[in-house]
Amino acid sequence: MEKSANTIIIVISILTLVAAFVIAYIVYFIKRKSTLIEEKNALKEEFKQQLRQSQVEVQEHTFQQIGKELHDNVGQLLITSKMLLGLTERSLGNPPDMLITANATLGQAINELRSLSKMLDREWLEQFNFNNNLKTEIDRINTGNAVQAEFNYSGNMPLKAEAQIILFRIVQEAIQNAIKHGRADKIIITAAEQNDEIHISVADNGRGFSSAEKTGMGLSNMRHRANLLGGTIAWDSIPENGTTVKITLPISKEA
Amino acid sequence: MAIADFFNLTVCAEIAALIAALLFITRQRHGYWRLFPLYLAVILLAEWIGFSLRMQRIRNHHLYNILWIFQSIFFSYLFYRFHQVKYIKYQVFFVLGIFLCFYLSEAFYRSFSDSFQFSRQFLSIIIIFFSCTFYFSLLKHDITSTPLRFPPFWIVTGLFFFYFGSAIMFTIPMEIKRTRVIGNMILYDLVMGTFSCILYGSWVTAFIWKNRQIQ
Repeated sequence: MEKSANTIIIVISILTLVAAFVIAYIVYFIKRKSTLIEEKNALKEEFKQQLRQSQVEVQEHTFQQIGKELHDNVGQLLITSKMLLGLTERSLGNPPDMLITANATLGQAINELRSLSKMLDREWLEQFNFNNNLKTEIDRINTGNAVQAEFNYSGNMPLKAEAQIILFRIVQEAIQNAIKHGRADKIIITAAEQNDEIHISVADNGRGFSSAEKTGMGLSNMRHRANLLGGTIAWDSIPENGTTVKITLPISKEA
Repeated sequence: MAIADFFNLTVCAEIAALIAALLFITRQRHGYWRLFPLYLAVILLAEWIGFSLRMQRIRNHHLYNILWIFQSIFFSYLFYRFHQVKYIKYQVFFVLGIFLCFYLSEAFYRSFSDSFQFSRQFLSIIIIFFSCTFYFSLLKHDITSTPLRFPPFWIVTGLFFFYFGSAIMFTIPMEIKRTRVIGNMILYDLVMGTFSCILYGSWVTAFIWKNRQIQ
């Protein structure tokens, strides 16, 4: 009887060991699998980040090219035209008012074009910080008198120079959308730091848009850029009641 | 009959699990996790009644026969909740139906005061089978964390060890079960006590992880 009992204990011990081995193998296998999945996800994320980075770089390069073209070709043509108008004014002695107005308008166009090409030039952008660039952009918008824009932020933007350029492009796109698609006549840009994050909002009084219209309009581009900085972007919009673009970015400690 | 007799290895493990369930699970919102304290309280009560009947030399098989029905329904419900795949969820209740038919046919051929050994063995097979399908689904799905932090994993692991290891105890004759082995303990009590410790130890771990998840 005792012998049988001992045999049973041995059999049960073996069964327990088998069960333990099965469980240990399952745990080991799942752990290995989850490590591989994590590595795969990290690689995917890195690839996405690189892709976004290169997209932004290509876009910046395109902007730079357009800026140069505007400055060197269109700008030169306008300057030549203004010079010719000036010469005509002088040769006439008593030039008509329309000619003087045309000359002044052309001068204004040349100034507009210069500031626009500067805005597209990355090298120029790198010399200034976000606040200065945005203020210049706002001044440019306000000179047109059709749209009234303001920027409320007194602090120093706590982001690296490269991140500031990307953020500037997002805000620029939001302003363009407000003017072009929203037909807004008032735009208010605010920024505030809170809990290691910077919150930027671009609010307008335009016609807004419904969630069905949320595609296109460079929105995905803006989202890409915000993601590139490790942040988020959200649109708060009700048709006929304006739009608020809310950008939240983490504050980089090395900034 | 001393009070200490009521606190054997199995009962101590059950008390520990009940205390852990009351401490860690009562704040749980999900319905099925809240059932654990109730289940453990019923098991503990049945264990004490069964033990006191055994001490008075009264057969207690009818008590355990009823308890197995309660256990089979509770475990089926657990596997139903733990499994993510829909067709396996339905299979759980289908197999529970088969078990109940098996149980009723055994009840028809045997006296209710006898132990329903075949039903108990069948229940062990069912639990081992659904534990294996649970592990298989864990292997199949892309989970990004260790299963050791996953409370259902510990619940199922406890059940798997208990029923895989103790199944043999229900196939051997009563005389061998009553043999005294290490430390003058009865073989049946030693084996069931050891596996109860593994089962309820795993459940306590599950309750702790569940509590951490809530926090």
